[in-house]
Amino acid sequence: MGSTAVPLYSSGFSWGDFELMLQGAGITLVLTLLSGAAGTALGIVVGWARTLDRWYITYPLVGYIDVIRSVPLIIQFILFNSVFAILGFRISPFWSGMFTLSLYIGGYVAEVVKAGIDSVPRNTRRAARGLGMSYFQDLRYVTLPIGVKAVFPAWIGLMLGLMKDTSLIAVLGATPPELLRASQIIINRIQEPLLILLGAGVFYFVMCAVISRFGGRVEARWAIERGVLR
Amino acid sequence: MIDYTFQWRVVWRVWPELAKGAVVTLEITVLSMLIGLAFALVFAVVRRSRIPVLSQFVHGWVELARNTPALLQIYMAYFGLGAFGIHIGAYTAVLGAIAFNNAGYLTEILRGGLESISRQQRMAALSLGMNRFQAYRYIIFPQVMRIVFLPVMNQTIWAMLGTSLGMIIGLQELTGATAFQQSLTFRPFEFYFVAAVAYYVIAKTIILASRLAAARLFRG
Repeated sequence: MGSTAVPLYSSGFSWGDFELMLQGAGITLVLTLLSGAAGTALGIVVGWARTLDRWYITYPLVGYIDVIRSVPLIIQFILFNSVFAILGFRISPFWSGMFTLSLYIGGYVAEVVKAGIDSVPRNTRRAARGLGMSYFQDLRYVTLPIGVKAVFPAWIGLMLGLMKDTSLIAVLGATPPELLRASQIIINRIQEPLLILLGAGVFYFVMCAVISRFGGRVEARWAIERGVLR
Repeated sequence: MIDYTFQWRVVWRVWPELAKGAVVTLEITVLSMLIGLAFALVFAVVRRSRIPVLSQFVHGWVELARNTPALLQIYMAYFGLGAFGIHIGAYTAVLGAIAFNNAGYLTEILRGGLESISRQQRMAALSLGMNRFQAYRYIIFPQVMRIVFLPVMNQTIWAMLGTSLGMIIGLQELTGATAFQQSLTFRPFEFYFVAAVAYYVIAKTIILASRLAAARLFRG
């Protein structure tokens, strides 16, 4: 890829390159946060709807989750991008990528949410209803706190995966470039793949570590709360 | 409402090319899983043994594989290794990177499986006169197999989907072949839709086959 370039200009690693990579890391974070938030919201609704046990709701949703999980993300990016084009929406690759990422992670979050709701014992929920709580009060004050704690680690895992998957948005040529695409651009110019890729790897590693650490903190706090309550 | 004429015939015309791509996809999936499993089996035991340097090496491998994007790992193999004078083709790069990734994830899966087997099992095996290898081979691994079977199958699906990254470095697996064919006709939707269906069918086949295998292997 572009290894035939003739050095016409300065080809060392410059401050501007570092800025481009920093910006790329920022874009990666923005993509992760926005599509993570949208996908989680979608996943909560879908996961909850699946627990209603109505076949006309369950079948389409299972279909959605199934397809999302069985087709490579790259193909989803391109397909949704061309669907937008076919339907005549003028939408930038960046936002079409964001849409695809949200829909993608939403399918995974839905499974986790369903597992979380299912992890709450039936009798606990019956007890809540027996105390006179409405369906939604049970969901809000009993099922949610218990279920969230059960599946929180799985959700953190999904968000880590999402952050790594944002790198695939490169196939759409979305601008501004996220971290890996920015690295690729710099590599094309200075021809030092190992150095730049190691740098990008460190960025990803640190961002993953931060998310993991955050997850660990939250879990530790819950553990303490539980201890105090006992 | 939709001002677009779907043309499926252009896809049908080149189906052998796409089929060739699918074969490459399956090849890399199977090979990368076998290589990954072979590494992970050793790694999981090493991790539990806490041998100083080896154990840290495995830990580093697992962390690297799990905390960086698979695409970065592929770039590393394809572009990065050149710095050491190692030049490999796209096929080897994708196979190597996915196998590296698989080894990392599978190590954690197997380690979790090993940890779920109580220590007394091993002690009992040793006290029956088995050596450590026999204890692993006849007592521990058969039980671990049952526990890790589904996670390993999930990893297989993931590896299969992950091979699609080969398209970015120009490998002609299913996605790459699709990308190439659509570039000749400018019919992205039709081509990628067919590819998506193909991936779906492959994924479902793997899941179905693994369910059947699980029902047969682990009955009773």
